[in-house]
Amino acid sequence: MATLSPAERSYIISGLSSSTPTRLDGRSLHSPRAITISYGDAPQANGSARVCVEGGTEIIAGIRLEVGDVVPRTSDINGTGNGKGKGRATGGEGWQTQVEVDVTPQAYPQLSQQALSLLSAQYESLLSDHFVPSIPPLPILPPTKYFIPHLQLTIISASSGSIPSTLFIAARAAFSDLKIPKTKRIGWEGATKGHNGDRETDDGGMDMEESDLSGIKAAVRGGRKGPGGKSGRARVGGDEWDLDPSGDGLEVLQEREKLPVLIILNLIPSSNAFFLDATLAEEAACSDRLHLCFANFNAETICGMRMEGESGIPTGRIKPLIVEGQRIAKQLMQSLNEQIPTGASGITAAAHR
Amino acid sequence: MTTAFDRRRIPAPEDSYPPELSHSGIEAGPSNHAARSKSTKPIYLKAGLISQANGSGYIESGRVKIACSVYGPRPKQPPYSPQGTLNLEVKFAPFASHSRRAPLRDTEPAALSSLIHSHLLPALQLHLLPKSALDIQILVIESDSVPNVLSAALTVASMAVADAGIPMNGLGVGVMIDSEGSGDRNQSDIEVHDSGGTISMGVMPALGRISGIWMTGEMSLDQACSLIDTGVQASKSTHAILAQSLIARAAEQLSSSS
Repeated sequence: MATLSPAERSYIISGLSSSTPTRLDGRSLHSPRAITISYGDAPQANGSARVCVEGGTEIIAGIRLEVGDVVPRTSDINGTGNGKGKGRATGGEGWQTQVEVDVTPQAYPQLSQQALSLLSAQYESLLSDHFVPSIPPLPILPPTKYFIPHLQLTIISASSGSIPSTLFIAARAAFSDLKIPKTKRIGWEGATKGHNGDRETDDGGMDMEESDLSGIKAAVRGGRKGPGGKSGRARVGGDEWDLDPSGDGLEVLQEREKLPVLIILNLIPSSNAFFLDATLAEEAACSDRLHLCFANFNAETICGMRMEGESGIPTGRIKPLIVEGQRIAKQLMQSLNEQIPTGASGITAAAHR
Repeated sequence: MTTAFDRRRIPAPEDSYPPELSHSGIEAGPSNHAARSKSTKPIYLKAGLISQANGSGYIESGRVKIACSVYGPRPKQPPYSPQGTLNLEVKFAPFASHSRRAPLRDTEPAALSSLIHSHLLPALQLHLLPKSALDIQILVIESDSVPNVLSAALTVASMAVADAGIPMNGLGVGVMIDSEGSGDRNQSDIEVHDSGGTISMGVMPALGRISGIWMTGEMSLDQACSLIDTGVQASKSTHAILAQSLIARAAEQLSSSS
């Protein structure tokens, strides 16, 4: 974050608030800088992406899927198991994405170690609050086994500002690139008196006939009797799963076009206008901003709002700002969705203007 | 030799009764709050709770209890800062939530502190306090959900700052609205997850400005805007209560010093 002298600050603000607004790099108030996204930069990760904003900001995102055991939702809501000391609920769902944002000293050379970790915690909470809830679950054996995505974002360079929205774009791109291994359930189908429920499994499921309980099958079935076993309803076994090699064994995330985008409306102190995509100097001069996150097709629903600043916003101004933000988010989402690679190998460079 | 008065054993009572289980307070679903869903929940505010601090306050609102103390303006070490620095720290007591928070690991959430910090900033006039720091400590004694804590903490923090005699732009008030009710609602975390979305706002009703907004969940634009309007309306009553408790405190101080 640049430190500005009062003269520089008033120079920037008067340029922005004049009747013909001018910015330091000649853009208009609402024009964004070019964003370059490349997918699949880290082949070892399940999904990865690299986003560069014209001017130097660069963020790399990577996702690793881990198979996790999830305790079906109980009363442990307040997330004390979250060792990062954030102490807030993540909605209690154990399958939600874990986010980590690595704020590197090379990106912020003037900050101390403590300030870096504080900034990192703030970005992590921004993503956990507004991006993570929109990610659909990746079940293997619901309700206990899920693929839990671990999203790691690394800010390599922050020299052109507007980090939060670039973080969202990078996370979105990484999830768009994500290839989830297909899995199939391998289970026993318990037969009951007269009821021969036929459960569909992909390939490897095995059905068991009614009376053939010899040897291993009987032992397994007997051991698998769950709480409903004694009353004659055999519990459907199925604690085993395996990878499904059909096709190329991978599938993409459903509804990845619906993932949220973040729009930052920077407010100009003495006027009713706002501007987009601030550079570092502009961010330091105009500290009032409104973060809006929109999700779903055409940015229909709003999934997050945050305000930062020193002077607040008059109550009547919020609604028009939100409406404007939605319009911009729709454009951004559409152009991002067009660039999502559809092939299995995803090293595609895409430019957005 | 056993006697009737065997001191090693605890004598059992002669009668026995089955235990009475009290009705557990946290339940999923709206049934618990149906009676209160259409009205704002009662708030208790008191200023001047902590005598060593320059200013302090205490709030009880639904299932949230917070004590706040303000120290300042205190001189700050160089380097020179033309504006005052606001240091805000939120600390949860280990027994504050439904499940215990481990001390030092879970009790000091940095994200919540920075949220409250940014919501309180527009109410303060930090340019009047160069080379100074304002330290605000917020202790949460009982909490149910994060948006509730956020809004209550904002209210009590601005009360404590006003109690310390620091000039402010306006009294900031925190409100929390969710997309199910039409007014402030007391919500446990389970419900926060199931409802459409929650908005927690900091409002300065006297100036008609919103000092901070934090929304989670998902809702349509119109819903969000109507919730914001509801919140701004609801903040006026909280603001009145806040002002009255400050006046009461001032009267108390006057009468005790004269």
